[in-house]
Amino acid sequence: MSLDRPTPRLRLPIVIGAMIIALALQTTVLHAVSIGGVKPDLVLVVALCAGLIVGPGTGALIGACAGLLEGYAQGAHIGSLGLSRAAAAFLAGTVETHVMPDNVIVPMATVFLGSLAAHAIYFVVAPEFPIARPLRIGMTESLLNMLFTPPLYLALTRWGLTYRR
Amino acid sequence: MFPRVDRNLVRLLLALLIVVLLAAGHRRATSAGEESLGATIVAVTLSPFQRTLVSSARMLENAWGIVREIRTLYAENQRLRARVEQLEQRVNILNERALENQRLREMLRFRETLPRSGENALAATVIGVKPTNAFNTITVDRGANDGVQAQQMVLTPRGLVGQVRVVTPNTATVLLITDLTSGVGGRVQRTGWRGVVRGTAGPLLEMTYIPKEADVRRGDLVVTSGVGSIFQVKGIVIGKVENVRLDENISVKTATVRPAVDFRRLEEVLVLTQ
Repeated sequence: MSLDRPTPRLRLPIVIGAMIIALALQTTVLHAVSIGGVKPDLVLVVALCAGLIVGPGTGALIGACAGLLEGYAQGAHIGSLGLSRAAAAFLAGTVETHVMPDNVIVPMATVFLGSLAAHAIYFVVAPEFPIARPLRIGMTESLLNMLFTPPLYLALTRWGLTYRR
Repeated sequence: MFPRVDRNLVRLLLALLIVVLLAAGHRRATSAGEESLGATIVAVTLSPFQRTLVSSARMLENAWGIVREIRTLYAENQRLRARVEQLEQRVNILNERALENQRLREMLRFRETLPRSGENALAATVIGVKPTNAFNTITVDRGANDGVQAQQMVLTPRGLVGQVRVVTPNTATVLLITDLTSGVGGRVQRTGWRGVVRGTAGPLLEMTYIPKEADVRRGDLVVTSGVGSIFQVKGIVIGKVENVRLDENISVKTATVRPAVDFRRLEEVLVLTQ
């Protein structure tokens, strides 16, 4: 890796807008694509994709925002959600890859693993785990998140991605 | 490399610190029975998007419902159309049977009026019309096996149809009186004047050889005279006079006669087997 490689950045309004729209979608119409009552977590997908693009540090901050957003919307488990999302986005940011806007395989794999990690961390830090059968739900949600990754990732790289030397 | 890792770690710690602080603030607010500022901001920001999405989703749902309704209605419409066609066909068959019944009753009544109570009148159904333009013929479903022979008279309650020309075991071909080669001894019913009724190959007939002093008028009924070897039964209606003209050269009158029988709609006939 060359030292003068331009640093990828995301436009903050685009990321925040994406998260708000994602949250609005998953609190309204996304139950239509649920499998066995499990629906995708688009806010987490945005956070993981953002983490993958901008790296672990900024990814952690974006992940924390995502978790807080979900927590506030849910009215509970703000800390657990914030911590788990921040950690998962941090981990997604540690994936050493060049950002290739047209390649969605790496983001899909990252989102799948990142979602599983977020679930695991949430399971550990939540004061009481509010769902039964966490493994089935975690796997299903991770798979759904993975399927929703290409459009969100491509949208983020298309409208939110900038480079700084 | 190291400073970058450090920066990332600092950011991670900062993120976690923010989360912890905000979560603690939220918990304290909710414990005190107040709404936390963060939750309020998120709710206020989110609600317009939620409202838009929900109303859009409802519109889509309604549109999809309409599409499904249309599909259901279309299928039902197809089913009902098929049923209507089926019922129409049944009604047509029943109508046809009723008309046939009516015609046969009429024929039966007519048969009773024939000499010797029509004991030699054989009912036959038309099963074919002229195969070529050369002759005006029909084919009926009675033949030699039923006692039909050539030159027998064929008629309906409305009037004279023609004569049997060719006989096969089960069918017979009837030469219509409209054929150019057909000739029938005719009589004007009102005045008794006689003539020969010939076919014109068209829809009308011509009654020729009427004496020039004969009283023949438009509307006179022309019936069979009973003269001749084929049409021996008297008084069978042939048609009505449409107009009369005088042929100066041979000093006779010729009358145009419209046949009483509509040959285009002939379905059942009687064959006089004697």
